[in-house]
Amino acid sequence: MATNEHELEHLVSRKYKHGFYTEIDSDTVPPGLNEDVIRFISAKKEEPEWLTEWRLKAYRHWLTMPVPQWAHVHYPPIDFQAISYYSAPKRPEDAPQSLDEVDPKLLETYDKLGIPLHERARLAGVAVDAVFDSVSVTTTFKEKLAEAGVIFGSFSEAVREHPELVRRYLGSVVPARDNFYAALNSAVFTDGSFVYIPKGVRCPMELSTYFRINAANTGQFERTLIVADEGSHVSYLEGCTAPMRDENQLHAAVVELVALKDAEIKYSTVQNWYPGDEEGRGGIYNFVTKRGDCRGANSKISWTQVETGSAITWKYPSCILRGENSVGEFYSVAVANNLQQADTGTKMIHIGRNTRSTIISKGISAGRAQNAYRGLVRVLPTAEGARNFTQCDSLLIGDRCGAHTFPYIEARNPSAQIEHEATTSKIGEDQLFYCLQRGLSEEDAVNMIVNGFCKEVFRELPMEFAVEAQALLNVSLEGAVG
Amino acid sequence: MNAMLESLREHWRDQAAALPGDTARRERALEAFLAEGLPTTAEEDWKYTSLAHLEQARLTLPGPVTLARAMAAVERHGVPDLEGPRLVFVNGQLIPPACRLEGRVPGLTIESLAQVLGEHDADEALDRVVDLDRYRLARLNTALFQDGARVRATKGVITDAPIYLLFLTLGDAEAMQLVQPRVLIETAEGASVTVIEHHCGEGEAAVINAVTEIVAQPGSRVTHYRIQEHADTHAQVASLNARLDRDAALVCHNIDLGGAVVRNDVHVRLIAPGADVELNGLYFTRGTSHVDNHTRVDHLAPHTSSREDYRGVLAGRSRAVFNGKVLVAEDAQKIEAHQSNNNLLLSHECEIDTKPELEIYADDVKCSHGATVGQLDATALFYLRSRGLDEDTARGLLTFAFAEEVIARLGIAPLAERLSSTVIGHLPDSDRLRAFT
Repeated sequence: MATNEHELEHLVSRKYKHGFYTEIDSDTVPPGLNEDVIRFISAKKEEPEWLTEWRLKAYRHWLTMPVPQWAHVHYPPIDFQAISYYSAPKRPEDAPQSLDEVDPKLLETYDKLGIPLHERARLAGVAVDAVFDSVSVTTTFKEKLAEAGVIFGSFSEAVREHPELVRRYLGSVVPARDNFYAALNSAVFTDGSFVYIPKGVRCPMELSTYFRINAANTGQFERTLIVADEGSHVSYLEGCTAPMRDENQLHAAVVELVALKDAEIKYSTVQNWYPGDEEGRGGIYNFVTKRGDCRGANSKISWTQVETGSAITWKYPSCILRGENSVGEFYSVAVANNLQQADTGTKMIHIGRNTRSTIISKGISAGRAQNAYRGLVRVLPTAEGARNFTQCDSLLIGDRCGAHTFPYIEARNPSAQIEHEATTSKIGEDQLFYCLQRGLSEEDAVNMIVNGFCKEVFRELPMEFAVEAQALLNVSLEGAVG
Repeated sequence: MNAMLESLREHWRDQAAALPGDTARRERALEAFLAEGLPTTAEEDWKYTSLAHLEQARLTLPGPVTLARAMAAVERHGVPDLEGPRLVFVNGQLIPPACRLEGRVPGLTIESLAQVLGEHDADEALDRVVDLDRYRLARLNTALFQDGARVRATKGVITDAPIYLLFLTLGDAEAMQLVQPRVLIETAEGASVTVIEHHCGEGEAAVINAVTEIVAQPGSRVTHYRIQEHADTHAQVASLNARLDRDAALVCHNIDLGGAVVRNDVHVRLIAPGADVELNGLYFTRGTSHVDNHTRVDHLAPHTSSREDYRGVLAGRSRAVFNGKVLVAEDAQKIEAHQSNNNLLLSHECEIDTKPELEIYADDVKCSHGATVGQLDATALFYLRSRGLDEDTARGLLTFAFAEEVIARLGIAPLAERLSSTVIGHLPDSDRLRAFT
């Protein structure tokens, strides 16, 4: 195994490929947080009075909240006054209408990432609402979506153009006081995406947003709201990469999904933010609140995530299964390498009759990383016939990493059927040996086994995304087993 | 300071001199406990179990019970047909006429703690294994326990007959009593003992706070039973703390069939290669009872293994909690740890909160856990119905079969029969069910 370990070390120690930094002039407020900063952000976005008040209320509540300590992660305390809460690319007023108008430097950035915007848009038929730092710079395929009646755009745009929709649904899934980071986000969110699928419409294409974090010392606080009206269907993709940098950056996003009667939302994430260097310096703190509300009968919300980046990931995409027969799904691959820490999982709250949920979580730990699954399945007395299946498997690579499982199960209905199973192991030497004696190289063998381990999750990803996900997995881990 | 803590301080003032053993140790433990108070639901380990109702309870240390009353109670509750040595404690105090110590095996010592405390090594043996920072109520036991049992087996001593320790609590209407059994089990190299701790009681509300410590030297084996059949007025907190050396083995059976509020902690540390632990558990909760089982197995050395199977049947408006943690320390390679927790909910008002946890810091491990909450298998039910059984009987039989799987592992016939009978008695239509078994 000596060569293998050697190779492994080489692969594990590969530098972050996507580390670069694009210089674009930013319109940035000085670091610090107070009511004036919030009013500044709100004014900058030309927001209505009620939203400014909503932000301020969230801020005042946030001030009273203690920083949560329960997650299985360790990091120095964050100085919230040292963060700059607003940063926008220079010319927001003349935002480009097509790719030709986009700042060439930005396009260059995407080229480096290997995901050329125009190509992806053309080849995959994907409409891309690229969020560069905090303001949407470009939105494509808008006309085609408009034809179907789909509203897809930046959050600030939605506040201006569809205030009644935003007002009705904003904070209805993740209230402003929900938790520490959600409250912070509610106070200072700068932009994000808004999607509304009208009644009975099947969204004609996959919707996609690339988030990037840029400009030093700028926390990024996105707010995403997706509403699927009765009988509609939408698949939404979110992917991220971030430039290399030494200081930790805080990322506290909030994603709210609302599925009304017979509606279906599929939300896929590939997260590849800068994880910090081998010594754990730098890297993104990713503290995200994601929650979906299956409000109507027969609705369905499905979360799929591939988490390979960030120094610390703290994220629990959840489903509130309110409507009868509603379905919640969670498919996750979380990879932690070097000194990364991941504490991720899901919550399935069964309220309606015959609600069903499936949780498939695959955790991979390597180097000195800590990877925890934390989940909650709660069945309320009203959830007659509720059904849950949970499987969380952990793969350990190297003897200095950790894999942890904290599944909470709370059942209050005798007709509920809940199954939870979890395993933790390393790649079997027998499996590896079998592949080697079939003539596969060590690296290919390990790749194959790890890919097989994650297969159940990858096959839930939309095709074009699955390719990127596998590439990311390879960058983070490829062959990292001995 | 709340009423409970105040009452404890008063008792300390009045009765400290009468308590056996090292007073300084007791005082340290008491001060530490009083400073911390009772655990609250704000603590993760106590998230689902509240002891708030005890905060205003004025507790008293029980006085002696008349022999006639004690003997009658032993008659009612004890398991009669068990062979082997026995010690009987009523309200925390030894009842010598009910004990049986004749025909002892050489090398096996069974003693009352109150009698041996004060001897140098007996005092040393206390608090050797229990993690007092984690199990704070164990501090209260250390501070104020009145008596208990000490079982020691010297090198190579193997005993077949189980050692039966009966702890009876007779609740008193006048004052809420604090009964604190304490058990020490020590096995030297290659020794093997079987100990049954039988906790039961009747009468008015009382608080039982039990602590058991097991130290198993290399190659020794301990089979431990903790049978809990308290009255539905009694609150019980118990911790079982064990340390297993090289190639030592521990089998624990935890059966909970009574109690109003019950919290059991099991903490096993596997400190050297070859150590192995098996945990079996059954809880049958009814009425408004609340039973919380927390287990924790620390794999601190390579080549250690653990298996755990806890089952629960919940009826009425009861609530059960299961939290099973397996920790694998850094460099503890070649570990095998498996755990399962299965629950059957019989009513609409009951609640189960289960959390099987894995915390793993080594890579060459095979660890798994599973938890289920569900109902009876529809096909099995259909099969019995097709054989002419009515719905209730069929359900009763299948429920019994589910619980029986744990009881069947007990291995001591009189005990298993007694518990089977109790379980059937808890099910509806028990008379009809008995005809089948």
